Amino acid sequence: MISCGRIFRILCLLLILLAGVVLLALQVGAVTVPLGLLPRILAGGGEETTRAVLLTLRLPRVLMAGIVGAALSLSGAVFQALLGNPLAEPYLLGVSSGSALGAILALMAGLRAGGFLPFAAFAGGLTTVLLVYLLGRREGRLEPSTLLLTGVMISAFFGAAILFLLSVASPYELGGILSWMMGDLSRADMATVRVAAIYCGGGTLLLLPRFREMNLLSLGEETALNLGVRVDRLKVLLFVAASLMTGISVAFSGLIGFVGLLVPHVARLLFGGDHRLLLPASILLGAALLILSDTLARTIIAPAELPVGVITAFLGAPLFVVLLKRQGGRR
Amino acid sequence: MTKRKEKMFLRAEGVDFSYGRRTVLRKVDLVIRRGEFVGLIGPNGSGKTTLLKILAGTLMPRGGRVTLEGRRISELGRRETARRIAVVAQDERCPSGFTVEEIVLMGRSPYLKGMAMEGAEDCEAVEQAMEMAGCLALRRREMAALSGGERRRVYIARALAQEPEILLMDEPTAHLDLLHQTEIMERLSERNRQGLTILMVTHDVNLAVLFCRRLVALREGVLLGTGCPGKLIEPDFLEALFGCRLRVFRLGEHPLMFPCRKGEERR
Repeated sequence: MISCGRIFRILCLLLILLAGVVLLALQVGAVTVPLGLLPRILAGGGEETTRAVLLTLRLPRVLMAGIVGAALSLSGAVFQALLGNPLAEPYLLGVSSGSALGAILALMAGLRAGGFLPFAAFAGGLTTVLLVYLLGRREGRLEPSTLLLTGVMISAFFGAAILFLLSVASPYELGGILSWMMGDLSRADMATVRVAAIYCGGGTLLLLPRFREMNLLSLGEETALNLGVRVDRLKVLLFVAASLMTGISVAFSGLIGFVGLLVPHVARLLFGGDHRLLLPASILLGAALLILSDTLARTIIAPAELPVGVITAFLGAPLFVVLLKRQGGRR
Repeated sequence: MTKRKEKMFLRAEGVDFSYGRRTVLRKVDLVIRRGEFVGLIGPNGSGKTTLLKILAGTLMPRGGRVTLEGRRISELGRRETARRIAVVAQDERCPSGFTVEEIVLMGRSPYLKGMAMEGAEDCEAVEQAMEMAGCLALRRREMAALSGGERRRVYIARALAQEPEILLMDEPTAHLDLLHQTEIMERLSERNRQGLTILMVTHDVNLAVLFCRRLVALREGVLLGTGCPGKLIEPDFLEALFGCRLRVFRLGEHPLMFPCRKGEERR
């Protein structure tokens, strides 16, 4: 059994890692801010341009990366438990394609301004989730394999619709759509960070206390039921909370791939399958990974930017393979 | 609690069940009394597993009802049911990333409130359960790295850690070697003598004869008969039940059966 002490130690280590990544991310960029100056600028002092860059551009971006990374990773862990499938990830059930379709429709209708894009993406994602939920039920219960297949089919259908729209979009529209589909954290500002933080924080508070039930769910639904879990209620809660968090993340940052699949697996390989450690560890690791990836994405070929999903995959996939190969030793 | 009620412990009355249009159970009446060790036998597809799941409250019957001491299972609430009835299913899913001890510890969850951590009492129950199911030596091993028979013992330990009043098991000895089969059955018999009520589904009739104190026979969703092994295990009855010719040997008071091979004479 994992002792409280071990959980505490590991989470402290991950917190230190996250803090280090945040400090690094705040320092580097078009304007380099030395570590020693950070506290003064964050407190409202320092040179004006530097302060403006840090507070209105870099800080919201770092915060948004952290929130989105944490939310996608937590959702990934939840979907893997819910569907009993290691390949599950937040985008599997169609949230991503629904959001993308919503965003693209909004873009093509010329509704770029006034922060309408996240709203349209969120509406698209939510509609899809609702559709998958309604179609994925069998005799009134959420059934993992039906849910999964329904999600995949709806994704395929919307994916085709997206391709269709892309092929008739003007080059000007195409640019906006593509940057959104590749994941883009550059649009973050303090207002969107606040909204994302409220939704994702709420979702996290709903999901984290369910660690025991999620452990039991990984034994299979019937066994969970026999061990006292109200499985039907739990599945609905997990599905709704994880989908909402994914929807919000996608709405504000576009489709950032791979984090939601990778991070829970890395956490599981490092720390085992117990959700009381797996969930918080996924949150911290996910936040750290996405902040680091986004920092690299905006600095490697500055002033141009790489899609952040490219970096997460470049960093994460080799790491994952190394861990997987090493796993033999743990048994 | 009255004496009469205590006798009628777990009870199925007129239970019907069907998967889609295929009827699996027809008007099944079954009473399990406190302290019994019952073996549920019958050919493949006779509805044994379905009946076990309905008794456990995992499946809801389409007709009829299941009661535990007079109260419907569906009204008991999942946690209370889990504190009183433990189940070892036939096809348990093996999760990755858990050690044996962690899996057995999950058997304590019906007793844990909210986010509470397991206490000394829970660890003691887990220790005892692992000892009894013969998997104490495996405690630190990764579950996914175990053999089928070893996992089986872990699932039995998890059910025992629930400290249930009644234990329902679906083919508990499947995948177990001869040593572990008899060892587990001996230990379950011992727990049974200490008061644990046990119902097990098995198609190993001989094992059921040796260890169960009452047998219940199910064929095509209908209860064919029930009685103590010596009485129920009549060659004619069993041939009708399983639809094959049998040879019967006697081992002391226990009748043991083997199917006839082609061209062999009965008995």
